[in-house]
Amino acid sequence: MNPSPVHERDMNDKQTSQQADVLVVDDTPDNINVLREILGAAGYKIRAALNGNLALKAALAKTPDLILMDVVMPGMDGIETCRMLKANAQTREVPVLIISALDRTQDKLRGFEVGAVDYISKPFRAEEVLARVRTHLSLREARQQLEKQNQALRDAARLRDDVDHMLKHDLKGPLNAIIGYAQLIRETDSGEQTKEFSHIIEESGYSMLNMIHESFDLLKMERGTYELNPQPINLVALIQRITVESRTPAEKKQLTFATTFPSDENKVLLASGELLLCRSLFHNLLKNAVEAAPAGSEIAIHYELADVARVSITNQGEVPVAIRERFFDKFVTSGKVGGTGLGTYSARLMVESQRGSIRLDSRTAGQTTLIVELPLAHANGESAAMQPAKTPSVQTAAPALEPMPPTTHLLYADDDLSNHTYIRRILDSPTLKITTCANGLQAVKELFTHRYSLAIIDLEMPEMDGCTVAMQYQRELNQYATDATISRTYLIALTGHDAPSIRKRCLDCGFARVLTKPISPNDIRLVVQHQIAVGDFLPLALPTANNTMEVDPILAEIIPEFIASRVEQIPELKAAILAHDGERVRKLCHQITGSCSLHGFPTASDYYLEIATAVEHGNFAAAAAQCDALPAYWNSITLDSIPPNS
Amino acid sequence: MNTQTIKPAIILIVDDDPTVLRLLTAKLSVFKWITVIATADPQAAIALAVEKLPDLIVCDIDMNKMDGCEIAQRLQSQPATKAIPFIFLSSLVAAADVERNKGTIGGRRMISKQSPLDKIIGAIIEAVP
Repeated sequence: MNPSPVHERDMNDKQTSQQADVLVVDDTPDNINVLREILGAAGYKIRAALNGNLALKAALAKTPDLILMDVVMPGMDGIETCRMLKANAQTREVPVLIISALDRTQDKLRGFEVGAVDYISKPFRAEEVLARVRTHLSLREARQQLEKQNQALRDAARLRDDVDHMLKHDLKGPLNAIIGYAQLIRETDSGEQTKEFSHIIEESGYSMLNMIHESFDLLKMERGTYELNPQPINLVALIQRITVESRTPAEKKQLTFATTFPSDENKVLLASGELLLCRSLFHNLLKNAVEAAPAGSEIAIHYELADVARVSITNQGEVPVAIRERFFDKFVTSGKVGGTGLGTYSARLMVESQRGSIRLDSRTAGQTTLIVELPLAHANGESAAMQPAKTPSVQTAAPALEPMPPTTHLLYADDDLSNHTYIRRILDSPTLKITTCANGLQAVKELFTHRYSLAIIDLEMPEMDGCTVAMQYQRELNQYATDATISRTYLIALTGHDAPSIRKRCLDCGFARVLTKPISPNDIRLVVQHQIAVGDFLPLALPTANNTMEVDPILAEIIPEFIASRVEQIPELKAAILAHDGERVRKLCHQITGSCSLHGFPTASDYYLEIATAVEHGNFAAAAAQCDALPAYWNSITLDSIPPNS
Repeated sequence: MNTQTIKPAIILIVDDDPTVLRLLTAKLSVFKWITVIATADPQAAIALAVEKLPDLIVCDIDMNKMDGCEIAQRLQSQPATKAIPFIFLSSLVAAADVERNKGTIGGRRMISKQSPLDKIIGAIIEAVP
C-alpha cells in the first residue's frame, strides 16, 4: 500500500543514467549528426540546436542533463550562450562542455570563465567525448543526490524547529494554569476549592505531558508516516468533557456554550478516530474559539450525523479576510500575540491523519464556523477494515440511542511513577477508571479490595515482584472463589525484557498477556479497548489491514493453501467452542498454533493460544467472539513473493 | 557442498496436520539427496517406519489417536527401528526452552514449532546421521 520512496528513487536514477538528455549546440548539421551518432549509440537522448538562441529556448523548455556547446556560431556565440545559461536559475546547474577548434589556452580559459565545466578540442575522438560526457553526467547525478539529501535534512530540521516552537507556545497555557492555581490554593482556605484547583493543576499537567507525546506524533503525521489506529469515539461525550475543562477561561469572558445534538433522542455521535487525537484536536479548536469569541457571546457546537460525523463550532468572532484562504497553513495566525499559527495547522494534520477533513466557514458576517468531518464508526461494512479488530462491540451496533458502555476499572502497578501519568494520559477515556499503585504489596491489596476488570502489573517492583503478585492472586482466587461466575481480574504483565522464557514464566504465573516496554500507546489502548468491548475477556487484536506477507518462492503455492485450510477449519473450531468441548478446542488450537508459527504467522499463533486459554478459563463466549474475528484476519492477508536471493 | 559425497537419506515426518507435512516436504525437497515420506496418520507411522527404515523420524507430539511419545516408545521397542534417530517437533515447548536445554527436553531431542522455519529445517538436516 505504501509506495517505497527508496525504490522510486532508484528508478529515477536508472532513468537519468540510461536515458540522459543531452543538448548539442552547433551551427554545422554535420557536426550535430556525428555527435548524435556517438552519443545515441551510447544510449543518450539527443536534442540539437543550431544556434545559441534556439539552445536557450530548448534548455528552458526542458532542462537537459548536459549541454555540448560549439563556440564559433553566427549570432550569439557559444561563450555568450553559456553565460546566459549560467545566469538563469533553471539552467544554472546544467554542465556545459565546450567543443571547439579554438584550442589556445586563452580560448579555453574564456570558456571556463563563463562557467563551462570542460573543454573538448576539435577534431575530437568519439571515446574522449563519451568519456567526458559520462564523467560529467555522473558528477551531476552525485551533486543532485547530495542536494536532495541536504534538502531532506533541512526540511527535517525545520520541522523539528516548528514543533519545538509550537510546543513552547502551547505549553505556556497549562503552565500558566499550574502556576496560577498553585498560588490560588495558597491564598484560599476552603477545602472544596482547593480540591477543585488541584484538579485543574493535575489536568494541566496532563495536557502538558500530552503535548510532549503528541509532538512526536505530529512529526510523523507531517511526514505521512503516522500509523492510525482508529476506534469508535463518542464525540459528544468527548467535547462535553473538554468544555468542562476549558470552563475557566470561558467563564472569565462570560461565554456560554449552546449545543445541538443529531436529534433530540440521539445524543451520541460516534466517529472513527483516535481518542487522543480527537481530544487534542477539539481542545485546540475550542481553545481558539474561546479566545476569538467576544466577551459575553455564545459558542455554538452543532453535532450532525450524516455520511460522516460532523461537528461545527461557531463563535461570534471574525477571521480576517486576508488569512481565510490560508487558515490551516503553517504559521498563519490572526494577530494573536505569541501565537505561532501552528494550532490550526496541527488541527488539520490531526483531522487528515484520521481520514477526515476540516474547513472554515466565514460566509456569515460576524461569525466563524469550523467544520470537522470524521468517518463514522461502523460495526461492519467497508470501514470495518479500519477498525483494529472486529469485535461484537456494544457501541457500534447501532449508533442511535446507544448508552455509553459501563465503566471499566483498571489497576496499574509500577514503581516508576512517571509511567503512571503516561498511562493515565494514553488511556484517558470517560469509560475507564484507573487506579495506580507503586509496589507489589499494594497491588495485591488492591486486587482483593476492589473489583478490577484488568490489572497491568510491572514485573520488576520493590517489595513484591509482578510474578509473585500474580501467583498470590491466582492462589487466593482458586482457594476462595468457589463460585465460578465470580469475575476475575485479567492480569497483564509489563516487562522490559522481551525473552520467551520470561513470557512463559508470566503465563505460568497466571498473567493473561505480556506487554514489553516501551509500551506503545496503540498496543496498550488495543488491549484495554478490547477489554471494554468484550467485557469479560481480553482478546489479542488481530490486524485486519496491511497484512502483507513475504513468501519464500518455494512456498508460493503452499502458503495460500495453508491460509485456505485455516479458514476452512474455523467452523470446526467454532462448533467445538459452542459445544463447550474444552478438550477438542485445546487440541485444535494447539495444532493450529504450531502450524501458524511454522508457516510464519506468529500473531495468529498467539491468537489461537489465547482462544485455548479462554476455554481453559471456562470462557466459551469470549472464545467464540475471538473465533469470529478469524475470517477477517485470514482474508486480509496478501502475499508478496520475494526473489530467491534476497 | 559436494552432493556426491552425501549419502541419500529418507526422512519420515509424522504430523496430523497435513499443512505442516506439505510445508516441511516442500522445504526439505530442496535438498536433492533427501526423500521425504510424510503421514498424517500416527497409526500408519509405525508400519511406515518398519517398512521404509528411514534415516530420521520427525514426529509431532500432540496428535489424535496416538501421541508422539507412544510412537517413539513403540519404535524403540522394535529391534529394526530402535536405532533410528527420533526428533519431536512440537508447539508444546517454547523455542527458548529447547535452546536452553541444547535441543533436548527430558532427554528427548526436540524442535519447537515456534522456532524460525529455517532453523527448524537446519535442525532436521543436522540430525540426519
